[in-house]
Order: sequence, then structure tokens, then C-alpha cells
Amino acid sequence: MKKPTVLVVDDDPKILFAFREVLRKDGYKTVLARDGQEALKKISAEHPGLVFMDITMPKVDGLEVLKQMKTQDERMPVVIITGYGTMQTAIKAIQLGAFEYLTKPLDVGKIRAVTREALASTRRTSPTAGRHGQYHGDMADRYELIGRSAPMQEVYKLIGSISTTPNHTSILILGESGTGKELVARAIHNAGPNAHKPFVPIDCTALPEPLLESELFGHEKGAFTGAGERKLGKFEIAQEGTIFLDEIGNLSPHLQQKLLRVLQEREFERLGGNTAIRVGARFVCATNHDIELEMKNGNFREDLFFRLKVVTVNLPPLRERNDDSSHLANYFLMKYNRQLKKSVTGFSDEAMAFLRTYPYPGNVRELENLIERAVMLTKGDVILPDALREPVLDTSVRSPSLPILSEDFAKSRIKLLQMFERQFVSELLRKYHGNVTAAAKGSRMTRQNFQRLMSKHDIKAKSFRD
Amino acid sequence: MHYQPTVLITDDDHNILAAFEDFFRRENCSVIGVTSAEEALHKLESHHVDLLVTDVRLKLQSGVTLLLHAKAILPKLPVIVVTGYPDLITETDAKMYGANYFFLKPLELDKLREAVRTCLHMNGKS
Repeated sequence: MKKPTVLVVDDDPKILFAFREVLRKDGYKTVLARDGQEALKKISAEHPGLVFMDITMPKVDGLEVLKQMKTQDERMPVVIITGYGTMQTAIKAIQLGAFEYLTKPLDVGKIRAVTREALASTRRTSPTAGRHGQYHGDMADRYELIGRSAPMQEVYKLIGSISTTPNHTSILILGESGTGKELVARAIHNAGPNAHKPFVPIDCTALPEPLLESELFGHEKGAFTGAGERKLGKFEIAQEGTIFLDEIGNLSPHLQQKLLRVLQEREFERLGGNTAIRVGARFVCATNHDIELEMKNGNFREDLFFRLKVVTVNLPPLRERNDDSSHLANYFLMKYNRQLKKSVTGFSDEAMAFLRTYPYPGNVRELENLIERAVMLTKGDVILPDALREPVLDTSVRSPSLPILSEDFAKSRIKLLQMFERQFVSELLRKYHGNVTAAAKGSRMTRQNFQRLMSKHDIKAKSFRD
Repeated sequence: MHYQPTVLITDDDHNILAAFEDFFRRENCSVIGVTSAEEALHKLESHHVDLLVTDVRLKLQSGVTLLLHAKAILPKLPVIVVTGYPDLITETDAKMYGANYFFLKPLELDKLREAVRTCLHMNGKS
């Protein structure tokens, strides 16, 4: 059988050459283009079975080209390549119907696998994707999720898929505190067709039950003492937008039952009222993993739980995506330079090594607080490790916050052990300035075993050398 | 030799999983049975699979999450969604998320058999 043609679009001739070599070895015919306009011309002339395209190119924006490709031939799989794996482009690319989204550096195995998969598929486009999933303007900078690691790329892709589902598809976001659950909720809202409708966040722990109830459901005039005027609840205010219920695990049994009814019937009454009011909003709820324990103990209704989590988004803790910590650190450095009117230019190598290996029990929020404090304290150009380490040591003395999760024993032990290993190895390397032999000796481990731990946690000795 | 298609089944009830496994073996399929969406995703990434059958109500991530993920990585993979909770998800929803077939438990085996054969045929492997 004749192998199909693959079009590769990139402004970097080295990348084009690499692709052509890999694909030619596998017997595909390759057609190359240096920019978007050329690519569109080649598509009409050659009808390729698959397109690889770098999204950052001169002349026309890659996403715009993708849109035009999809109007020319909706079924042709297009694989997007980018050097910067930001949330915005990933979500947008998936919404516009990209088959897959790869970040540089590319590896040959991945290119081969994607080529096979993409060509094996004549993509069955979901009825909503691409058409209703238009994008509504740029999200405010402060709501951007930061992270280029593989687990975050998965989260971005899932957000893209979710944003094309109807509002009655409820979403549950699971993640430890400080991982950015509200940011995910906002991203789902902003990526959907109802982004111009309200986003209404409510923290279920912030208010006592009666207040929370009237806050959510609203009340009629005279419903209870002090209810002077009719008040609209959050369910109504949200219209066809999004209701974000944070810390849902803390909802009282009474409100759990009422919420379950709202989700089942998609309607409710204001307190003291009799008229049923339709709910058009999407429910996005968030909780940490303790909710399963709460369910086992009978404090959280199982039927409500399953109703809430039609789709689940699992947010990885920061220690499982250590690649992102330096990126986040630089982002917060910029943010607090601006806010505090400082001009700290960066981190010393040792400070950066610390940031990369610290296990962050408080996740992104803890990292942000660390950087804010360090920017405030730093007098010179760069942040030194002491500015970061002090508060960490401080808190760990006061309250050793171990991430003992409400999972099974074996899993929790493994997690804790991994944190211990990572911290142990980094601290020794720091003490011995990156000298592996000395660090191994100091820990009374063999050099081999020490190195095994280093590679297990992707810790590089050179980041600890002066 | 005749091609033996692989079916990945996700159901957190071990009894139902075992019953499914019997059913698919009689249909001449090779079967991978898992009890969570997380395991299923892992299998999808590491094995060749011709058909995904999933329950909606699973412990951690739901069957719908699995379906969305699966369709994102393997758009052509046929998926059969099964549920004992018709109020959690409607047939229209399931199909919009990308499912090819939607069945309520208890299953009518004749209908399931017909759907499986169509799915595997669609994938061009039977």
C-alpha cells in the first residue's frame, strides 16, 4: 500500500530536516513548508494525510493557520508542536481540533508513535468541538495556570475537552491545597462558549450553614428574620455561567441533600419561595482527597459525590512536577518585582537548586509565599538560599506538615518515602557542594545506591556545585 | 491466523468484571480487565486496544473522564459506555462525549454482542 504524505511546517530548517529523515526512514513521503501561507498552499496541492506544524512561526499565527487548515479539510489530523507549553495554546489547539499537542524537545519515538496513531485515525470530530468551542478573548494574566511539565499538559488537554461539554456536565477538581484548583475552574469557564457569563466562586468553609444556604439559594422577602428584601442566590446570579464550589467536602448534610436535588432536577426554590427556578450554570466543585475518607465515615453522601464528578480533573502536587518549580519561581519573581517595586533579577544557583528540590507541602501557594517574602527581603540583585530556607525551616519546626494522604497505607508510605529520599539526597549534596562521592560517604551509603536515588528523583549533582 | 481483537474493560465491581471477561472470551477477544480509570489509561498508553468498555461510576476518576482522555489520545477507538445509574448520564450525553454505544445495566447480552461486533468491524480488525 502506498504510504501517505506528511506535511511538516516549521521555520527552523534543522527541524524540517530531522522530520524528513525520520519519516523517510519509515517510508512516508514528506512535504515541507517554512511558514503558514506556504503550508496552506501545499495542502491544496498535495493533500497530505497528516500535518506536523510548529505554532510559533513568522507571518501568520500558527493557531490561525490551524483554523484555516480545519476549514479546508476537517478530517485531516494536525499535530501541533511548540517550544512553549503554555496552557492557553494547549487548550486553544485542542479546541480548534488539533489531533495532538507536542512540546519541544521532540523525541523520535514520540514522532513515530503519533504519526502512526494519527494516520490510523480518520478523526471523528465531536459535534461541538471547533464550532461552539470558540475562544473568548485572552484570559487575565493572573488566572493563568503556570507549568510546562507533562502532567500539566494533560490537565490542559482535559480542560480543552471539558470546555466543549454542555453545562449540565459537572466537574470535580481533586488536588491538595495550594495546587490551583480555582485556576482550573476559571480555565474551564473561560475556555467554554459561556465565558462571557458570570463565574461565581463560593468557598463552602467561609460561611456558617444558614448564611451559605441563603447565599446559594437566595430568599424571598420575609423568608426569615432579617430577610427584608428578596435576594437572588448564587445559583441564579451565575445564569448560564459557572458556579465554583470550593472545599465541597465541608458542606453540611442538609446542604448536601439540597445540592443533590438541584443537580438532579436542575431547578430549585428560593428560601421561603414556591416557584421553581431553572439552573443553567455549570457546577465545578473542588476538594482535596479527604473527601473519600469523609464518604467512608458517612459524612459525605456517596450519591452526591458521583453526581459531582461526572468528569474529574486531578491536579498533581508540585513535588510531582518539579520541572515546573523553577518556571513558577521566575513567574512569581516577576510578579512581586512589579508589585513591590523591586528589581531582583534572579536566583543564585544554590537558591534555584533548593527551589527545584524542596517538596512543597503547601504546593504552588507555598512557593508563591516563599518568593514574595524573598523578594521583599532581598537587598541585592539575586535571591540567595537563606532568604528562601529560613521560613521553610521555621514552619517545619513549628508544624511538621507531612503529606499523609487519606489513601491506603502503602501508597501514603511510598509518597512519604519519596519525599524523604528527595530531600535527604538534595540536602546532602548541598552540604557536600555537589560532590557525589563525599555525599554518599557522609550518608554511609554506597556511591552506587546514592546515585540510584539521584537518578530516581532526577537530581543533578552539578546544580549543587558552586 | 485469525486476528484476536483486544478489549479493555473498566468496572470497579469484580463480579461484573469477571462476567464481562467471560462474555468477551466467548466472543473470541483477548481481554484486559481493570477496576479504575487510572489503570485503564495506563493500559491504553502501553497496549494496543481495539475496544474500550467502561462503567461510568468508578472510584476516583469517572468513566466519562476516561472516555474524554481516551478519545483525545485515540480518536478512532470505539467505546461502549455501561452504567447502572441512568440518572448520572444520559445516552445523548454519552454519545456527545464520544461513546459509540450506551447500555444500561442489567445488560441485554444480545444487544451488547451486536454492538461489540459492529465496533470491532468498524475498527477494521475483525
